[in-house]
Amino acid sequence: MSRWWACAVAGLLAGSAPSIAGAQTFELFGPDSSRSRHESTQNFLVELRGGPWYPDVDTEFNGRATPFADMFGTTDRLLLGAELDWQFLRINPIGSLGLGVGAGYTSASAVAPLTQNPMPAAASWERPSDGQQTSLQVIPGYAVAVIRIDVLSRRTVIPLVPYVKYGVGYAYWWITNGDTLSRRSLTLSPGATASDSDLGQAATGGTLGTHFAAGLMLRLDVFEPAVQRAWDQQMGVNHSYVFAEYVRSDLSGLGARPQLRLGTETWNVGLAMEF
Amino acid sequence: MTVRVTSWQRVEGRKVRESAAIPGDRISAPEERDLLQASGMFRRQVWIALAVLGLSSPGFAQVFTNISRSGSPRTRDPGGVQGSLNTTSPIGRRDCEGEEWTFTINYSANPGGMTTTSLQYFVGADAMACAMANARAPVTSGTPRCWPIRQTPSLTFTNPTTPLSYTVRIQSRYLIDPEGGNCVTPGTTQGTSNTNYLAVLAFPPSDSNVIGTYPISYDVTPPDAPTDVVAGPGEGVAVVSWTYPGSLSTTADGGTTTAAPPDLQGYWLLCDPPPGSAATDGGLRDASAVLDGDEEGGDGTGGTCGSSALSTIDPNDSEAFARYRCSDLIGATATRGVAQGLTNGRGYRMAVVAQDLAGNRSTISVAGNCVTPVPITDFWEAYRAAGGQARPGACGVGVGRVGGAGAWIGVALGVALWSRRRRTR
Repeated sequence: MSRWWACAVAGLLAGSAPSIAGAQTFELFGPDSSRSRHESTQNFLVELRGGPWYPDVDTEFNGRATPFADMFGTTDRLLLGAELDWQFLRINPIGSLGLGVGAGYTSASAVAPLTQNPMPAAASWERPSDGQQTSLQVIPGYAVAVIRIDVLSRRTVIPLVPYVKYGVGYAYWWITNGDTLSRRSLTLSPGATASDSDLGQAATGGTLGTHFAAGLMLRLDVFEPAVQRAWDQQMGVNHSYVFAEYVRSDLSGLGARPQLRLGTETWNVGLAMEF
Repeated sequence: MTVRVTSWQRVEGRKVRESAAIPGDRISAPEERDLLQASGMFRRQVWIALAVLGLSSPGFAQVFTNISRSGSPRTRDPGGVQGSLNTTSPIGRRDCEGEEWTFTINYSANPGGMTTTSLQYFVGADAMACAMANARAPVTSGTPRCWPIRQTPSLTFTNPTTPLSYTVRIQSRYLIDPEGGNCVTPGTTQGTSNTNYLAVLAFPPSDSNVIGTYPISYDVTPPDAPTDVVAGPGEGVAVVSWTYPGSLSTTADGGTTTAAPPDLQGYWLLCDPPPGSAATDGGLRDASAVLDGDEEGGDGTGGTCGSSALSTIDPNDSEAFARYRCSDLIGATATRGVAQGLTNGRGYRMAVVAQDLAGNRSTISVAGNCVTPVPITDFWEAYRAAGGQARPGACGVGVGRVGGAGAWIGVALGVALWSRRRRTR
């Protein structure tokens, strides 16, 4: 019953998306005097991002085992993603407060070792040079509150916008055995016992946690202001940025029962546009 | 009345279609002149087209109708062409050996006013070859470029002033090699661009009277066989990798990649013993023996992989091919495939066959190593075997122990509701 409750909340949040999309920005302390009268209204920000990703899966074992590193190695994977922010509150002249949702995709795959019963330490795994692959595929997402301090870029010649994000993270994951979802079995899975509740279940699930990010955006308008004005008039894009951010996602279940730890501490770079 | 005028013009090397509807009562003198010019141009274009197609008399337009082909073993390939083949797709070697084309021929006038006419069937190496008497076999000098299909008897009828429609069936082998019907090494000189032209000639009065031609494309040359075939074990599967010869190109980082040739349709995997034959146990095996190739198998009774029948079967033998096939058709750009439905603990010899768009199959490339499917330990199994406590479940948040999660979900819910209230104000 509990999982259905969580799913219902997630569905309610998804259902509120249309109302968010149709909303306008509320301006605290009056209109922004630094805005040009020719500038189009600004309500949203979209980001396209990428960066290295290495999950915290092995932290669950406190050094006793490293199944992720044993299977996939210690090389970072590439995470690509996107984020949409609704800048619902303009705090003039400081900056904006927004709600953002983001999602990405990443995966790790490797040739699976042959089953040995019991499985020895990873160094002794019998693993063919080419054979059936196993993979962990992850769609990490989050819903965050975002504060962007753009007073410098609006009122001075410094084209920088620092920002902070904090909120809920969630990663949907699935594990494959060849072309199919992995399923443990009593006879073929090392260490399986009859009392294991996950025997026969498809290895797919979700992990809840927190998401924190802090970054700095460089406003590109300063390099080609005429181009940016034309872009605003033609397409409604107010400002464009490149950004770099530090990310700490702690996806470990938020105190609920143990979940596959898919959080990470990493950095991202990307492009952003306000419109 | 509305008159629609359509014309084609060449603009910057491209053909552009122009069309205009003109009410009849509003056609002025210049427009009428344009209309007449357009009409004349159209008639000229039609006549040029008819001449190219060999339809040299206005009485023989639309000679070939209701063209179909049937009986090709290719149409029974699993996952391949089903039912019947398109009449524009080339005749391959397997089509050639079992297929028949059906043409409905409409003959609606007698060009010479003769009381008796005989229609005969030829195959020309180009569209105009059969229109020239000195190119039709047998020739007194030079090399013929048009040959009679002796397998298909001519049709003789009287009083040909009455429009006639009849059906003729011609085996594919005679459309490729009209004299010998040889599908593997046709003895007849082939047309350019792998196209022959079926021609119907009326005799007499003029032996050059071609009443219709129809292009027939063909390709009986098999693709090159894949090379470097290697098989690896999986759980009830074998993973096979290969390269395709002659198509390696250098990548930006200095490596090489395999590009499929343009007419390659894909690859099949073959297994010996065939999948579904008598199985042994499916339990855990000695992994060291599997990797060392010491594992015995191949026939399920303790034989080894060395005695494989794969290297001796003809890939165009549909029955034998179907028996050993252990995959659906794998895409042309692939260099790796998975054979499904194998038995753990049993030795298999694997092979790969390339197939082109005409259904021609390469010779069989057999892997050098014997592969024994065995259970593998995937990441989920390794994680759980290491003591990982996570369980499957996309929404597995326990309410009673949710702790901070509940607070966060409450915050998100509150924000959503606040947004909705603001909107309704």
